[in-house]
Amino acid sequence: MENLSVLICDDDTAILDAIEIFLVEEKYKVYKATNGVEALKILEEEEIQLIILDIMMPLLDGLSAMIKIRRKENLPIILLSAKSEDTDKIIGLNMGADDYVTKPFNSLELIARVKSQMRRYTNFGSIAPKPSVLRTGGLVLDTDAKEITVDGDIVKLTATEYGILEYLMKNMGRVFSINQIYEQVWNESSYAVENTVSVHIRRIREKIEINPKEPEYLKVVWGIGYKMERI
Amino acid sequence: MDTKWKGFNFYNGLKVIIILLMMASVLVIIPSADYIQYYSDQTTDNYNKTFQFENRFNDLLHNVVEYNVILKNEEHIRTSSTNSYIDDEIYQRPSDLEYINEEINNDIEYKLNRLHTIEDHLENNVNFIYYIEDTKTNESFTNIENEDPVDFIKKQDSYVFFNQYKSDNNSNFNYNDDIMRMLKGTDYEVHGAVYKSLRLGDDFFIENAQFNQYMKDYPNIRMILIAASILFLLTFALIIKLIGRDQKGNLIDSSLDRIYNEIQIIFALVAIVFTEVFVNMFYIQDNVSIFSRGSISTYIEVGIYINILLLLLLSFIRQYKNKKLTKNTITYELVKLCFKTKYFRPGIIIIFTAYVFINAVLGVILLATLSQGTIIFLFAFSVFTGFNVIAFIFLLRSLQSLNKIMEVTKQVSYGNFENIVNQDQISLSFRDFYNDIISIKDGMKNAVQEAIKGERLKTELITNVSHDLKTPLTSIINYVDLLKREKLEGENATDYVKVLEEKSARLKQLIDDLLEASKASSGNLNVEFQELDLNELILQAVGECEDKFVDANLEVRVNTLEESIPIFGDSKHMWRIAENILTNAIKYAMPHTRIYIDTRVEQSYGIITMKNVSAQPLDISPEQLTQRFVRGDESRTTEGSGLGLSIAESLTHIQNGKFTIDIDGDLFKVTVYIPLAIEDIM
Repeated sequence: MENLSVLICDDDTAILDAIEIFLVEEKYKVYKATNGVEALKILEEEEIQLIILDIMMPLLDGLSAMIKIRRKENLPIILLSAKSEDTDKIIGLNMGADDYVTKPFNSLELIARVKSQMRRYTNFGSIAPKPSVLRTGGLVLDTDAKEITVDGDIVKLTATEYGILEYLMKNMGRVFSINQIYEQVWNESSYAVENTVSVHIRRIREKIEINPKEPEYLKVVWGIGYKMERI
Repeated sequence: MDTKWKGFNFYNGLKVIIILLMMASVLVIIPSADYIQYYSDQTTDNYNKTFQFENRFNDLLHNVVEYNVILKNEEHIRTSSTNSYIDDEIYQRPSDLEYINEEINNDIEYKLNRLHTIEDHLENNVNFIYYIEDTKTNESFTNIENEDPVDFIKKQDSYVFFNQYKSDNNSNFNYNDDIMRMLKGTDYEVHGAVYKSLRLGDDFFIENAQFNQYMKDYPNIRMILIAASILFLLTFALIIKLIGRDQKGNLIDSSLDRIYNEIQIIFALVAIVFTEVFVNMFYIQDNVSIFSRGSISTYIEVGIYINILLLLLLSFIRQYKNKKLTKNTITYELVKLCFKTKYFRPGIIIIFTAYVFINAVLGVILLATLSQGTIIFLFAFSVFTGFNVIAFIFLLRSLQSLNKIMEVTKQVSYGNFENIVNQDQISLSFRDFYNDIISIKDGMKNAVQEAIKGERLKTELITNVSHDLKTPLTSIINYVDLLKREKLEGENATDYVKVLEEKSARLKQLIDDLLEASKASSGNLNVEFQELDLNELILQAVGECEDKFVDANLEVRVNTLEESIPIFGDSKHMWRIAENILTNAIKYAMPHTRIYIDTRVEQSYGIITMKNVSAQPLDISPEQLTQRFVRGDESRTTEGSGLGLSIAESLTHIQNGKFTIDIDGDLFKVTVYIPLAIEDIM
């Protein structure tokens, strides 16, 4: 399989060069553009599998460029921006981005997100669903094999962690309180459960999420409980 | 002070002298004017031609005629009186007799009195001569012994003649008609005169001497009067000009003018009365007054009255110059008192006075009609009641206006600037007041808007600066990352890169916190309120931070209420508050100590308390700790931005909560109050 191509678009060439180095290390072929117009041109000429797009750029900004791309292409787009507010992220994702990374970013996180999107885009669309398999986004839980994979990589969980994850994935989108999870998974009455459940959930997040502080799958609803996001 | 003293010496002294001169001239003018005035209507320099002479003469002549023609003697009086009544037929009834007797006796008594009076009067005369003859009987009466008395009398200059038909005299005798009436129906002829050369022994002589003296003194007295009058006019004009001004012509106040004018007038009246009493007490009977018209005492008395009134007049003139003649009155003060409330419409006071007055009048009428019958009384009563009901309605309307103003003021004090009453709904008396309140409101509104605008601009600035800082920071972080992968020469190079990595991460944290703090404190954050469980939140938060507690060698004791604590707050903001206070404890708590986190309910608040023992001595006030960039350690060497507690406090406030910090020695305690979500159930 030939190298996958990534188009990076940012008006700051220092950032472009740095990202290029990280991606080349991961064996991606990299195209660089410093504005939206240039990006669209490269996209027409080359075969690109993923785009990393800065929002604030001269000539054509990231969001406008993304709208134009989305008219014909279905490839993953990761927005990269200094705008870190929730509203900015929501606007970006609603306009067709697959992911949103804020500056300054951790290089490892960015690469992990690139890989995740790439695998989802290239591999998983074709896998036939089995009835024993629970899935959301790149997270797959096989109840028969008691096996969990994230973007194809196997994740090792303890028995309790697996119990919590399975319970949440079976009831995807529903919020459970600590007591409910405790009673279900531990099979005991929830007297003085203290923070056992929340510690377990943090650990699960650390294993399955690219950035555990901004979880993609296992979300914390503060003051109410936890839920598995349906993607 | 020196010039003032000098001014007093010369200038004020001068004024005092002028005033004294003026007063003295008054004292001279009064007797001299009286003197001049006494004979001022005479055109003659001969005593025999004066009214005084003629009156006296006339009087005596009348007496003589009355004595000799009417009264005659006691016997004649008794018979004539009795006859005059008895002849009268009206009084013939027996019942009237007693009354008639009484009348006759009275008449006789009166006539006898006259007889003796006239006898006395004539006895004191030596210069008056007369001759009365009854032409029928040739009976005659005279007081001279002469062969031909008529001829002798006729020789005198002042000769007069009367009979029943004619009077022959060269003067306008007052008693002419009276004498003619007495002579009517008689045959008497009356000849009268006064000796041409007067003899000593009666009033004619004295009066003549006085008249001659007067004629001699007249030019001198007249000179004195004119001189005194001129002096008075001069001094009066001068003092009018000088009074109320100092040497340089500036207006000055006299301490006398501080006394209200009404009181000055009363003082003047009291002084006049006092003078009257005083002068009467030491009344001096004297002969200085030539014609006994007045005494020195009277002149002094009148002089003092006039001088008191003059001083009062001067006081008024002085005040007039100072433009306080009307102001320096009790009346003015009273009126001013009524209108003193500058911001109250004067009409109110007038209306109030009118109300009391009308009510009093109506009340009196009502009382008066009590005895006038039921219908009139009922009518008066209904007028009285109606008037008071109308007044009460007006009062209520005013109070309603006041109530509206109070309502608006309350709204403004709550920060609501929009709910404003139209000024037409406010009664006239409060309208100015209302408009003032509206002005205050507008001022406040503007200030608040300016403050909000300023805060928003600040937030915008911080947001923009943060974005601009993040781009270069991205490169720094990434290239530090790349540096780490390079094989670096030099034994310390790896350590240096590590420092760079830590500090750039710190910079990132600072920028994020700054952005959040500015938004939270300006209230520029969305708050999505929903019902949350405080216990759940604390357990989740402690679970999230559990590994950090372990790393910092801290033990956490969570003590939650058994039942859930439903609060009304924003899920994400609540997490930030919990995270920030826990992170604060992790950063600043003494290792190997316990952190206590409790939840409880108090009144309408769900409460989180977090207690820890500080690693550093806390020489700082709780208030300062929630300020931005203030940290417990002054050296700022520890990790952290100093914004954590500030952000937590701001976020608590935008959720209508309270955030307090208590420091007791090294014990550090944070308490967060968030409103419970059960208010509507209660």
